[in-house]
Amino acid sequence: MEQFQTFIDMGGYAFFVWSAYALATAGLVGVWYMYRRTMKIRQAELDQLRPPREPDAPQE
Amino acid sequence: MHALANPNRFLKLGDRIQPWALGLCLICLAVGLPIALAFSPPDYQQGDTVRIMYIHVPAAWMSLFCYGVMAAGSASFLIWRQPVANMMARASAPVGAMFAGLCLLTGMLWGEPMWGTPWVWDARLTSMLVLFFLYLGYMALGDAFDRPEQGDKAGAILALVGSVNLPIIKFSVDWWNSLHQPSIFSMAGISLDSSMILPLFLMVGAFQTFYIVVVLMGVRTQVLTAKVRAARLMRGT
Amino acid sequence: MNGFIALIGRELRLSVRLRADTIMVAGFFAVTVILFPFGIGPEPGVLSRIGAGVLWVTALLAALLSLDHLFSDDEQDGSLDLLLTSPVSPTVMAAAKILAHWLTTGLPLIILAPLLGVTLQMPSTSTIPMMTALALGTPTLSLIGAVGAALTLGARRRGVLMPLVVLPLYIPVLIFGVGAIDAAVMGFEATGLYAVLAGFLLISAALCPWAAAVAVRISAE
Repeated sequence: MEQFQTFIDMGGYAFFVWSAYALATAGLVGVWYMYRRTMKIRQAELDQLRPPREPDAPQE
Repeated sequence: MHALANPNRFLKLGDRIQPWALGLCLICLAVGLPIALAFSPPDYQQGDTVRIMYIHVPAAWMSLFCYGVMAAGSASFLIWRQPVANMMARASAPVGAMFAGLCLLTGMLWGEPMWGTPWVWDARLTSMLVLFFLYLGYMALGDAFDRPEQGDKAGAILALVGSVNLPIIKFSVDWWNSLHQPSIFSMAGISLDSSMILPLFLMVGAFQTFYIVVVLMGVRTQVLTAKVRAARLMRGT
Repeated sequence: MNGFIALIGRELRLSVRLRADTIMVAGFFAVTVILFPFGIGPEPGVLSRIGAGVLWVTALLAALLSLDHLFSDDEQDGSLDLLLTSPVSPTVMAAAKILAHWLTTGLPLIILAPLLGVTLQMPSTSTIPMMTALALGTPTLSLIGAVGAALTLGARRRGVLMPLVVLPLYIPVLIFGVGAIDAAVMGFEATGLYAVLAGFLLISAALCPWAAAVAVRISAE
């Protein structure tokens, strides 16, 4: 338990260390979510334009 | 859109790589984070703040790496008209900007306890700030046109202009920095203990594989966008 | 070469007839520099310390302002297409436009700068270094900016896009431009810094007209 407390404390630098790791998490998750969302949106748009059962429409 | 054949093959390959990259990323994080946060020793000078380095330094490397991919992709797009190369370049920009931003913010969080101020016009931080703006300019330019092809090409040229400029900017900023404030304490001033190499390496691995996962999604998005546009043209809407 | 000279003549004639650029840019430069004493306070020590930086930053913005319509005027009235189909190569065309831009907007700044330096209480020893640094630096601003102007041709919200694209690329010129003036004011040898500025000028003179030409052709496709 005491060990855990020193781990959280980060030698008194808890705010800085944990903020850095929180920011990293937020950045990675945020970017991942953003990429995934735009991909899903495009896929939905395409499915709407061209129902998936159809074979690949001829492209210009 | 004959060239789409090529992106499709690229995506098939990507589909096979993606789960491996994701798995590797999670393994690196699962092993690397405990070492970085708990099991690696604190620095004898900087104490536990040195743990910020395991985010800060890989983020800096990745932001440079992403710009490298952007420049290389843009070059091969302009020279050999490889659409996939441009898609790679375009997909690398937002992640690269995020890594540059992460590097800057963690640098500030590191600077506050170590320098006593969150921002110092340190040569590295300043260059990273400029890199961040280069990313923003590239992304804004690429999306600014009604004709997407024009955005692709203009963005590609800007990426190349930026990559020629980047070493010059680095050189200028280094000179400027040496003029105005002799670095009392540099973030690079830590002697890398061997126990720090492993977590650093693992975090770089995690970020690198994360980049692969994300960039493949970005390329897919662009292929889909091109298909949506083609389908709309077919319908005449 | 004849085409190059003819094009410069055309640009200069246009500029004289419209009488817009030179006066507008010089006016912008002067007014903006004059704002700084109001913003910072008229203490001589402070003003002369930041004078070089103020002049350079304002010069960057002035260049940017006038670069906005380097190609776009010709694009809008269709003469850009004519210029592109003319026997003169696009690179030469871009080079001529850039040179004309510098003659009409860069040169006035160099002449105006010592005068504004006086209002910023810069020492008289700084006059020659200031003019030298600006003479070596402002052509680079026109060259790099022309690439930005060509790249953003036909873009949406061009007014905000141009600064975002171009200003980061101006940083090296700013650093060494200010450095050269400051060094001279403090009595150091500035020759090396002039050489760096000249180096930037040579590199951008070699690459920028070509890059601008490529970008213009893309927008005209």
